[in-house]
Amino acid sequence: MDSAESLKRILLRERAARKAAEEIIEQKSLELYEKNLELLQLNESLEAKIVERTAEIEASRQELIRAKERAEQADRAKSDFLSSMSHEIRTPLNSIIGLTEVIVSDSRDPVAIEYGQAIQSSAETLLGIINEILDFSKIEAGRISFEQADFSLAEVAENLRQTFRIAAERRGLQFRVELAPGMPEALHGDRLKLSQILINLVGNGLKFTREGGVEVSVWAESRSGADCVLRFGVKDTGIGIPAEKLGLIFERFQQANSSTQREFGGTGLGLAITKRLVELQGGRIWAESEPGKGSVFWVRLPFSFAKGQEALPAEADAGLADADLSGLSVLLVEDIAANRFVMEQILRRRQVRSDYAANGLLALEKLAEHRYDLVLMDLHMPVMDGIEATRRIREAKTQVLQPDIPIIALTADAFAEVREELLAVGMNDFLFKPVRMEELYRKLALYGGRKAGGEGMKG
Amino acid sequence: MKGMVFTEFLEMVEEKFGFEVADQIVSEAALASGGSYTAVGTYDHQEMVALVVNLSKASGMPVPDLLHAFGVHLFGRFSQLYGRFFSQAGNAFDFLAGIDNYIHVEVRKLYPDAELPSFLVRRDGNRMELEYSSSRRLGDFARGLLDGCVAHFQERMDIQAENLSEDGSRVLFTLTRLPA
Repeated sequence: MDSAESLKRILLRERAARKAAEEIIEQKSLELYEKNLELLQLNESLEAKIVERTAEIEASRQELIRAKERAEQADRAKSDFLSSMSHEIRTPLNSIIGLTEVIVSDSRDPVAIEYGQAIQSSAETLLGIINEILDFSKIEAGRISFEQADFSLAEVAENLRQTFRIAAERRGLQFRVELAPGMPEALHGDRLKLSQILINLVGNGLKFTREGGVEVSVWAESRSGADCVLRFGVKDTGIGIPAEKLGLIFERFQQANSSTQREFGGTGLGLAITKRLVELQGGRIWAESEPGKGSVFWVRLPFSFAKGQEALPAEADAGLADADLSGLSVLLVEDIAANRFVMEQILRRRQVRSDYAANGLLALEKLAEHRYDLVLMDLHMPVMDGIEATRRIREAKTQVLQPDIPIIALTADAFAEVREELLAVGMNDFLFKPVRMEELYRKLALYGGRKAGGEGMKG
Repeated sequence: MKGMVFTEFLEMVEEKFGFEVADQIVSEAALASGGSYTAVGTYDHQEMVALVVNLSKASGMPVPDLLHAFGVHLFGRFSQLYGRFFSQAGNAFDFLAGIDNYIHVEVRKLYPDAELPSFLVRRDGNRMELEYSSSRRLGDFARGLLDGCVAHFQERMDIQAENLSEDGSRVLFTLTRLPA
């Protein structure tokens, strides 16, 4: 065989093999290339989709934010409305409560006294409801602040006993407040808010209890350094709460059932307020209950120990309320005639002489013209409010305006920031509206007593 | 430059001029590849220039004529190897309009970064302008491919070439379809 011919055939076979291999590579690489292109396109369309979806999500997020803002605004508007309505209602209610108190105290006609007491009781109930609505709308609107001051836990307990003793006795119910032995005496925190929480829970417990009673127990759950966590238990032997309603009772306007509302009354706001007050202080509230047997409301609240731990002086001095106030001369600064009338009646009962000014500016004129022992100063007035008037009296360079005269604010607002402001401008003390006779007499004795009837009082 | 151009060139030389000539032009050129080409490789276009110049010496034919002849031949081979491109195009203009895409896919599938010639196509009824741009300056080769294309579709076409740059890197071909 011709070797050149053989080589040529071998060459052609090899060449054919090479071309076949090349063909396979061409084919496969084309397929890979096309798949790769598809992947790239898919990737691009996925990226485009992600951009699109992200934009959609962002748009709906913005929509949610706007909806939330609208809802919050509506809620604020509602709270503001409730708040201003409550304020409006309180002014005439002040007159009703104050004048009824005068009638009941002064009247000798048993029927008039009985009717008067009925009016008083209804008015107090109405005031309680309005205060709850006002409190709640303030909490909702975030207009609440917590005071940080030293206070005595024993005193809070004693006040609680005094608050409910008569009401419990009248209904044949037992009421006890027990502090665990070895409790810290002086604490640091918001005494008024703690009282409000306990008063709400006790009031609630008594309301739903027909026999047996309510028992409050307090102990320290934990202590570390200057801090402690206190546990409060308010246990009643009342109607109880079905298990499925336990979670609901802390919602506003919720009661265990609608017949509860008919039988026991109430706004359904008390527990909602209590819960907010507890939680805003970093605490927790929950309830356990057995229908027919009773309920326990538990509160866990953090406090710190008062510095030094010295015993605090008792704030209330029982003797003051009965002090002789005759001959005291008081300037009453109040713009609303009805309120003024009530105050004048209350003052007159104890032979306190009163003069009045309808706003802060008129009060300054009066002070320049006459000598008074004490000023009762409303806060909200046209022309010049009570805060501004007080500031001017205290800052006066001459003695004409009696810069040292005791000034007691009349305020409907129990919140810490208002109190801080009025003490900061130099007011000596404050009375909550509606003003209670006993309270007013006690303050008059405290700040004006030295001048009255010769009986010396601390000032 | 795509390896297929080399393998097809050497095969053409073997067929038209014989194995000895093919061996000779490869041996006389100092080629980095050593003259072993595969269609799926890619090689310096200077090797093609060297091969064509050597073939011109061995055969006595001018380089432009050789490039043109190779272009015509290569197009014929394309139509055999890549039948699928041709089934989609019914005439020369359709085919030429898509030529950039075919080249790109076929080259880029293996060599994504390869430098490619570009064909700018403007079409207007029976006239087509095709602007060839390549740093390889193989205008004659491109002309050969065009002639091969017209022959493949069995059309009558007047083709004019105009150098747009002195170095031959840009050539404008004007194709005018003639009545059959």
